[in-house]
Amino acid sequence: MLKRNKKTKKGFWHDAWYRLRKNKSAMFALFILGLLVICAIFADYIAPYPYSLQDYNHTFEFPSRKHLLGTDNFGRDILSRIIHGSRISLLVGFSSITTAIIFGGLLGAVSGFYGGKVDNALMRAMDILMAIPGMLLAISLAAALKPGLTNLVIAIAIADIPGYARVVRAAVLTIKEQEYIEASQCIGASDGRIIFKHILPNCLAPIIVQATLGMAGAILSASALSFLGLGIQPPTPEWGSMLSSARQYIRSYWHMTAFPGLAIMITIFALNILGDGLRDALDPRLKN
Amino acid sequence: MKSLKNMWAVVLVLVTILALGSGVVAAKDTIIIAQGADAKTLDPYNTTDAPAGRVMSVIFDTLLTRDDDGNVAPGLAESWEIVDDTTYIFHLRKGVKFHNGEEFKASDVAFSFAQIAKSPHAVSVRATIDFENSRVIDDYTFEMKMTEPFGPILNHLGHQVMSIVNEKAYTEAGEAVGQNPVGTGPYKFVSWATGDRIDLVANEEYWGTKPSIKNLVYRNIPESASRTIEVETGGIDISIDIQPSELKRLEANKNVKVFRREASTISFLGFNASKAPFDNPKVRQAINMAINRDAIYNVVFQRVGTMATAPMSRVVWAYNDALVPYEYNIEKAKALLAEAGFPNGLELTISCDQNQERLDTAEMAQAMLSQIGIKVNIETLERGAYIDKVIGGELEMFGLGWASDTGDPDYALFALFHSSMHGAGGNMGFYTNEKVDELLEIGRSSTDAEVRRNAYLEAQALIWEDVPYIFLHCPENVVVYNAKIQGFGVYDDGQLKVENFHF
Repeated sequence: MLKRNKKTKKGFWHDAWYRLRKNKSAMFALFILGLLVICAIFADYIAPYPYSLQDYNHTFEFPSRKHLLGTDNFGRDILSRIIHGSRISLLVGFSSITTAIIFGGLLGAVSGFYGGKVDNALMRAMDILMAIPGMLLAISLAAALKPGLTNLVIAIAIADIPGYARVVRAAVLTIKEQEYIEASQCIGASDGRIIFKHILPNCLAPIIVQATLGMAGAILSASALSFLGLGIQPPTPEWGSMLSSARQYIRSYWHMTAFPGLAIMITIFALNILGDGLRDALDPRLKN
Repeated sequence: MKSLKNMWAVVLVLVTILALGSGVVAAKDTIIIAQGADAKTLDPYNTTDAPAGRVMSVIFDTLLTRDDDGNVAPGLAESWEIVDDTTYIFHLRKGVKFHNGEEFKASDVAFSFAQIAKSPHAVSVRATIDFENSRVIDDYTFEMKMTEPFGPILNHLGHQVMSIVNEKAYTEAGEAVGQNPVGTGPYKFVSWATGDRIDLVANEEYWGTKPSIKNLVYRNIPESASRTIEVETGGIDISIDIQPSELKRLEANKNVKVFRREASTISFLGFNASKAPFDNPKVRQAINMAINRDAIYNVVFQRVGTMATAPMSRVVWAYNDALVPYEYNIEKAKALLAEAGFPNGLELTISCDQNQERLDTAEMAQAMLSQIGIKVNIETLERGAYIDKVIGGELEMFGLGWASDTGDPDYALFALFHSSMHGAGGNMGFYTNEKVDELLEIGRSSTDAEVRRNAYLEAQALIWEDVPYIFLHCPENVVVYNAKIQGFGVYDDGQLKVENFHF
């Protein structure tokens, strides 16, 4: 019995991967994201110049063989800054979503599993958080907490928590009525064991989809906050702040805004495509 | 019959469109001025904010003004007598009407002076005016007393914070006085859509040159690029606060004209001398020596304006042109830093508001100082909080500027460098040098121009050597305007001569 159960479970992920592989655009997106991760990890080796190297004799240079994407107002190489910027974007996107999933997932699981007053209290708290526009909440938090990497992550994560709490709660509500949950309750398994061992693993599919799409949102929020001067502090390059400081030169030096903008766009695009692909692949309704 | 009706309808529509269209296109009785921020308030005693000052400069008048050469000229006071060092008598202009119809009298001056006496924004401007003993002699004569002689006081009377308000209107407005300005100026206040625009209308009864443009609109367009595009496409007529990077393009455009004049402002990176190690002149000198000011001038300010060659702008009289320019020398800077007790460098924070030029300067300083082993963190703060922290002495290094609104070296130097002005008074670097204090006091109390000049020349030399701030740059007043505007001009204090404009 136990063995067969394991097999079907493995089969589900296997099937999903198979379906995802057939989706060409999702695979392309995955490839782009893979490249991005490599860029982020090996930024120091890939980037042609140090990201903070200012060369006052070569400011505002248009793309050339020496500087593939040109230089900015301080004569810094834009390609190197974009490569290093991917590090921040991915880091912020990944860590804020992970934080949001941990807290949102826990809250959702607890409230879905116990129901009643606990559920009511937790969900109403989430409703209140959700009633505040996410960006506005992130801006106020970032402004109150002082700008910086950690606070940026916290600000974005808090704004994202209710979304995950709701997704997980909905999944838990359906799963907890399943017979195998009843069975484990009968053999005296603790609530914690049931939630972590049996319920949460089965909610994974919707969480993964939500997380992929959410990461795109988080990266965008990070860029927006940095654009407003509430995010990463100089000289660390961040795509949003690169855009922000380049915008005053937009009419004379298009390359300063175009490339960081493209970097943001491509990343968000890839994450969204992959998210859509994952949803198609993981949605049980499409299974047959 | 029906088709005739239709035709009439079409004609009517066409006429309306034409009328409306010509109303927009040819309505050359309106000038739209755009600036980078909205006014904070239109209560002259409650701010020294530049965007508010521009609007208030056309609503309010002051007792005295300055002519194009920077000399004191009549304003609401037609003439004045200097009885002795501490007594001045002003003969007021007769028949001047406030915008609410009230006649301007000496009692309004007395009332305005009472507000100035209370205003925290007027501290350095009102200097040593003795408000208790200043008095109304008759309806058109006012006597101003001083507690101590103060050489440049007549210059100060032209400052915006010394505006004359109408007693009745000001008292009646109560809390809402910032939204209901009533002055004697060439334009009357009409309405204010907060954050967007302020509408003014010409004062037909103005005592000076009657304005020929009927409507004046001040719009708030924060984005510099948008302001520039708007003035190029004719959406606005005048744009203020132009980024240096936009100048080349604008100067090549035949539809607009660019007005440029050296401003009385100096911009700097300040040290907070109330905090170690910035109390040590050697540390300040070392940092100053490691800053490539030439590069900052080229990159951040794009060679618009001049590099600072003294602790004040060279348009202020008694400017010292004989100071030795600072040396840029990494090796010497390192040695100096080691001598000051930091052979392994140090870590410091440069704070600034969200002004792009300051942010850029801080980023360049960060790269430059890393060469002498100083690790720089950059912190950006919201402007209000930033100013509070600067005057509270909480920061280490900060980017700011100081405008010598009155064109007198006392205004340029006293508040910024006298030890009695630490913090909110204007000495944001908490700089103290007794000899400088002494010289600034001489300059302030003497009415002999030669004595004052010598005191200021020496004070500048001492300040220059002490490096209380890293003096960077003296910007230009840049105004871009529609080439169709005739009679364009700017007052000595940077305000537009709107009453002379016409198409």
